[in-house]
Amino acid sequence: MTSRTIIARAPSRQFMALTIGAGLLLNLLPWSPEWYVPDFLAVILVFWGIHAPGRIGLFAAWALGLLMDIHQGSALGQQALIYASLLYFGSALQRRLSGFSVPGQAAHLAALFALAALMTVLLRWSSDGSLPDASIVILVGANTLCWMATTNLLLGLLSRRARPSRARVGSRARTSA
Amino acid sequence: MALSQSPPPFFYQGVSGRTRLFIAVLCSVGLMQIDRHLELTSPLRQGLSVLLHPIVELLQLPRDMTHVVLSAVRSAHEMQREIDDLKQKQVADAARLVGLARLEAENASLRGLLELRARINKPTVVAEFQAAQRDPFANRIIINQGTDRGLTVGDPVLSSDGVIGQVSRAYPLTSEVRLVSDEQLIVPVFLPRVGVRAIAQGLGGQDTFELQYVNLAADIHVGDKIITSGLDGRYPPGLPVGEVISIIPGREGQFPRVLAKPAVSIADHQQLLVIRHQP
Repeated sequence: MTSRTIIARAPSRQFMALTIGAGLLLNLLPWSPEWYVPDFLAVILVFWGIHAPGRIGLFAAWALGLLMDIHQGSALGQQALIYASLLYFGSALQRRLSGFSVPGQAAHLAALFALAALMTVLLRWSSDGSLPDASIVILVGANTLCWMATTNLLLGLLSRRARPSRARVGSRARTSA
Repeated sequence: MALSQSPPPFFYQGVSGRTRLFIAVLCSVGLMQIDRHLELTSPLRQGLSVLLHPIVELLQLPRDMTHVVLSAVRSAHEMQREIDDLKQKQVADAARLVGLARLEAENASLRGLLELRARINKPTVVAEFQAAQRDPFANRIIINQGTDRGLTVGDPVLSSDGVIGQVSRAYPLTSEVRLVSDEQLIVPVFLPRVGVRAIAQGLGGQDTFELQYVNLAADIHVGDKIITSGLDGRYPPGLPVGEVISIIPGREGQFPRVLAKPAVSIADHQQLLVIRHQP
């Protein structure tokens, strides 16, 4: 994965907007409540926080979180806080993660998502005293798995864009010969 | 790791990340408090939800359409299954209904036997039909009571509808019963309408019997009831034996041939009553 990141170039603004839009739409999809559906938007935000720090504004993430708050009907600002924090801590993890293999990175991300879940629990508990069931732990796992898949997919897309086409390499080799 | 390879700006970068996060946290907490305690945020919520609504509706469209299609398919499928279930149930119920009809018949027969038993005033044994003997020339059946219950050869066997026959062989646990239509069985009978006595003797092999020694002058008609006369002391008098089905007039000086069919068809009766002979 690290070899891919070397080839990868900075993603375009449109590409980032596209992925965030996709994450938002995925979150808005009417999923069955029985499924353990990861928070796609959070995963995308963390991904960009790690791989393109500073490109997405903290307040943009906050606003997206607000949107999700409206959609989910949770207290305004709850998800906003989570998204802003995820983006911030994702950026903070950026340097540290580069020294780890995929399982090590996944462990860090799991901890990050667990922290986010803990924050959600605390916020909910402090506002109305309700506590979640064990499914929140599974959701942390789902988020981590989704992050791994997303990283694979997006880095793959980015490095493919960066890779020079074979035909051109071949023609160049021929002309040099 | 970082994808952005633009050189880090050395000069003013705006507010630092930590400060931004702090502001975001403050905004969130403030918003949550306002949202919880005041009604100020509801316009914001409503406005944003109106913006979000068409997107959500659009996203729900494939699911809803799939749902419609699936439910149509499923309802057809379910209907088919329901039809199959109902058919199976019908078959099962039919079997039960047949059983019920059989039970009703059995019940009626038992009630009849009970009444008969009260009327007879003699020791009786209730027996059940066990098997019919495979003999085209002899109309005999096996019942499930034998000498252990005091049955002896010659004991009359009745059903609630009338006379069945007589015990012809008594085994320890079962008995063989000769039916009225058996050639070997003779029952003294009485025709109540015309008031004549006669002797009923089976024809063997057929489900009929013949009346012997009928009074020559008697005006017997088809359909006349035949009952036991009780002259032999074995059969209680007045039990139905059968009814006349045909009369062949005899020639001068001969008895007419009167054919009759038994009142009881053994196929209809599972429960039988045996009158024990009192020595």
